[in-house]
Amino acid sequence: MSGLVLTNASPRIARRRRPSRAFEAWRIPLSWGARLVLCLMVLALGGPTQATAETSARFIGPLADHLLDRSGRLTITEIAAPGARVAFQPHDGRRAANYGPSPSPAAALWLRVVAPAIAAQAGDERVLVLREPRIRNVSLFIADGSGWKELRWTIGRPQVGAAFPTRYPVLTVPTAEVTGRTVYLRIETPSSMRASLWLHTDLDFLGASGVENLVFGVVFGILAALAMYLAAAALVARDATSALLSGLVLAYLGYVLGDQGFIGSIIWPGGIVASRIMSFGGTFLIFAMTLFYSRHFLRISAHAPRVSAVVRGLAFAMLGLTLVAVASVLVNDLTLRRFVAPIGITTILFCVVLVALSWRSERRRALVFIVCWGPMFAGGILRMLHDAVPAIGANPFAVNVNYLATSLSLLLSGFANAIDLQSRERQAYRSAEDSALRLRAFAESASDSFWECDRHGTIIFASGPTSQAIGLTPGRRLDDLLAGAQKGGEADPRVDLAASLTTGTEFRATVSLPVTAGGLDHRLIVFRARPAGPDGGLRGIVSDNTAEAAAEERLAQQRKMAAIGQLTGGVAHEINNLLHPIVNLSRRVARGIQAGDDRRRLLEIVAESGTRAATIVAGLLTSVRPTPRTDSHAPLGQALGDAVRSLRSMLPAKIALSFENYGDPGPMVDTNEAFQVLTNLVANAVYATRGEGHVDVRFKGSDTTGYVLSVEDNGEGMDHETRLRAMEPFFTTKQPGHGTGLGLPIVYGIIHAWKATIDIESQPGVGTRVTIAVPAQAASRTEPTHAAIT
Amino acid sequence: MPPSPDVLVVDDVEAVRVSLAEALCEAGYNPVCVASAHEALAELSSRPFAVAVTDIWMAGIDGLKLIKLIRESNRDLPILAMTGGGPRLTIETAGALAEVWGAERVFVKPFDEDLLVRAIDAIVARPDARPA
Repeated sequence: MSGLVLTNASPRIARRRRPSRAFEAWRIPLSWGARLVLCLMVLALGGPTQATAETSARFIGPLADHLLDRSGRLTITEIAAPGARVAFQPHDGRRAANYGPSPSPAAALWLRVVAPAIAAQAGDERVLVLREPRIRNVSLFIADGSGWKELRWTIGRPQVGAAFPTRYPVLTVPTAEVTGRTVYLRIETPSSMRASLWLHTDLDFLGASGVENLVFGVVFGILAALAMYLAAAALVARDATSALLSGLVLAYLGYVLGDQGFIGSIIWPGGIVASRIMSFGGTFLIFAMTLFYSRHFLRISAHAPRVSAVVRGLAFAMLGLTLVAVASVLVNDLTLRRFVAPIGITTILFCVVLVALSWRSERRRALVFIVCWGPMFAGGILRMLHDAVPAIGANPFAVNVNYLATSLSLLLSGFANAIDLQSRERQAYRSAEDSALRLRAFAESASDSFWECDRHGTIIFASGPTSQAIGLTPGRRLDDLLAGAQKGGEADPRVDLAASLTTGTEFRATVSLPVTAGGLDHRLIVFRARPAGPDGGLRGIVSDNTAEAAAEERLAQQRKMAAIGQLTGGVAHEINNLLHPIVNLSRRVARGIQAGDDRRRLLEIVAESGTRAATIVAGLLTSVRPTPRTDSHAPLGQALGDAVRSLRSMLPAKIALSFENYGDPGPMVDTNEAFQVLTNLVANAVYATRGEGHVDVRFKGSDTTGYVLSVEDNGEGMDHETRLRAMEPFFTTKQPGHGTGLGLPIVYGIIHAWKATIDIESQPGVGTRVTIAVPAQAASRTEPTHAAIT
Repeated sequence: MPPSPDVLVVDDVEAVRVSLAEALCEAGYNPVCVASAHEALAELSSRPFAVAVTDIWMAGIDGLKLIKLIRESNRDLPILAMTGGGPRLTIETAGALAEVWGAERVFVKPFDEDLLVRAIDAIVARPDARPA
C-alpha cells in the first residue's frame, strides 16, 4: 500500500524500484503531512524491506554481526583472530544492532559484515555510510593480504580529498576491495550504538545526501521563520504562550542542528563540542520548554495551581539539567546520557497528565494540544524507545521520522498559536466594542451627557442630548461656551475651569446658558468633571437641570405662598372685622346727615377709606383666595381673547399687544378670573416696557397635552433675586404709589385654584416671559360663589 | 302692622354686632345680638327666629360648629354666614363648609349690609317662611 502511494506521489522513485521505500519517503520532497502519513503507515506495516539485490543503496545494518567492546581496548587482530575469546552476536537479517547510549566513554561497537557481492567495474567505488551523526570515530578494517587495511573517519574532519567534513561517517572504498568480503567496523560514539549501516554507490550517495541536506535546510528555514514569527507575536501581543513556543522552536532548531551534525560539519567545521552541547543540552532545554509551554497553553495555573507549581519546578529542574548536560559534554562524562530516555518519557507523561487535567475546564485547548503535539510525542516516544528498548532495533526510518513529527508538531502549534492569538485579539476587540457600545447606550439613554476636554479646555469628546442642545461639541472651547452664561451672583465658572485645568482638580459649575443667543430661553446646566489623566484635561458629565430647578422653585414658591396665605388669612380676618363696622356705620351715619353738610363729606371719606382698605385686604386674600366668582364662564382661550380685546382699548398707543391662539378652546374658567390673570400680567409687561414695546400673548395646547398661556415682553427684565420674589404679596419694583405689589400674587392665587403652574423667565435688558401651564387633567372648578364687596 | 321678624346675630366683635343691629333695625327687623355660639343656642332654644346670621371664625364654638348644632335640632331655620377670613381655613373653604352644613349664603366681610338685608328680605318673603 505504501508502494502504491509512493508511486502516485513520485513516479521517479517507482521507476527506480528502490527496496527501502520508507527511507525514500523520508527523502522525497512531498508535502509534510503526506510524508508523515506515509511514514506512519509504513511503520505500521512492519518497517522497511531488506536489501537483497544489487542496488545503488542498501541498508546493510541488519546484515552485520555485532559486538560491544565495553573497555574499548580490543584490536582488530583480537577481534578477527580465528578462535577469538570474544564472540560476535550473529545478525538476524531483520533488525540492525542497537546497544543504546554508550556505556562508557571508551566503549566501542564492532560490526562484522559480509559486503554483498557486487559486479564491480574498474575504478568503481562504494560508499559505506553510518547514519549516526553522533559517532565520533569509525575505523573500517578490510583484510589486506597479510594484515588489515584501516580506513578512518573522525568527526569534524574532512575525508581525504574533501573540502568539508561529513555529518556522519562516510567511508569511500573501491568496490573491488569489499564486494563479497568480510569487513570490520569499529565505532566510537557517546550516543546510540546502532548499526545504521548503509552501502551506496558513490553517485547515489551524493544525490541522497544532497536531498537530505536540502530537506533539513527547508525544515530549518521553516523552524527559524516560525521562531521569529512567534517571537514577534510575543513581543507585539505581549503573549507569554507565543514567547514560550518560540523558545521551544528555537531549542528544537538548535538541537537538530547539533544532533544531526550540521554544526561541526557543514555549518561550523570542527565545532564538535558546540555540536554536542547543542544536541545534548538542547535535549533538556526542549524538555524544559515543553513543560513551560504545555503548562501555559493549557492554563494549568488557573485550574490546578498545585500541579502547575510542580510542573513549573520540574521545568526549572530541566533547565538546571540543561546546564549539567552542557557541563557533562565539556568533561566528556556520559552518565547523564543514560537518563535521557526516562527523563524524556517522564516529561511526556507530565504533558499527558496536564492534558487530562485541562480536559474538563479547557477542553478545546486540550484537543488542540493533542492534535498539535500528538506527532511529536509519538515520534519522541519512538525515538527514546529505541534507546530504552534496543530490541526495537535501529530502524533507520524510525530514527528520522522523529524529526519530521516534531517539526510538524511545532508547525501545527505555530498555526494554533496564530489562530488563538487572532481569536483572542478578535475577542478583545469585540469585548472592547461591546463595552463601548454598552457605554454609548448608557450615555444615549441617560439624560446626562458626557464630555471630555484636553488640558487647554478644548472639547475632544461629547455625547448625549444635553451636550448637543447647548452646543458642547468637539473642537469647541469650553471657555467660550461658559462665556455665554447668564451672569449670576456666583463666581465666574471660567475662573474655576482654569483652576481645575491647571491644578488637576475636580470641576463643578452650574450655569444658565441661553438656548439661542440673546433669547429668553435658558437652560440650567450643571457641569461636573474630574481630571482625565496624566495628560491633563477633564472628563465628566453635563446635565440639564432646567426642569428640576423650575420644579424646585415652584415648590419653594408654593410653600412660601402657603405660609403667606396663613398669615394673610389671620390678619385679614381681624382687619375685615374692623373694617366692616367702619364702612357700614360711617355710611349709615352719613346717610342721616344732610347733603352738603361738611360732616357728611368727612364721614363719606371714612367709609371710602375703609372700602379702599378692604380692597387691599381682598387683593391680599386673592393671593390665596380667588376673586369671588361671577356667573360668567367661558373656555379659557375665548376668555383670554375677550380679555385681550378689552385690554387693547386701555393700553398706551406705543404698546403692540399681540395675541396668538393656537390652542383648542381650553378648560372652562371664570371669565373674570381669566381677565384678572391677563390684566395683571399685561399690566406688568407694559410697566416693564415703560409704555413702549411689544407684549405677546400666546395660548396653545389641547385637552390631552394641557394648555400653556404665555405673556412675553421685551422690557427691562428682572434679575434673579427679583424674579424669585415676584410672587410675594407687597413686593414691588414700582415707585411708591404706582403699584400695590399684589398683581402677581393675585394671578398666583387664581391659577393655583386652576391647578396650574406659573414660571417666570427673565433676562435683564432682554425681557420677561411668564408662562402658565394648565395640566391636561385640570378639573373644572366647582367652587362656591361668594358675595362680592362693593 | 305685623310684628318685626326676629333675626339672631352671632358675632364675637362688638362693633360688627352694633353695625348689623343698626342696619337690621332700620330695615324693620328685630335683631337679637349675641357674642358667642353658646348664647346663640340658648336664645334659639327659648324662642323662634326668622333668620340666623352668624360669623364663622369665633373663639370657643366657631360658626361652622354652630350651624351644625342648629341643624341637629332645627332643620328649617334659614342661616346666613359671614366671614372675614381666618388663619386656619381659607375663606373659600370656610364658605364652602358653611354652605355644606346649610348656610344659605356666605358674606365676606366687609360687605355692604344692604346686601344682607336684601337677602333676609328675600327669605322672609318666601311662602314657606315661618312667622317669627
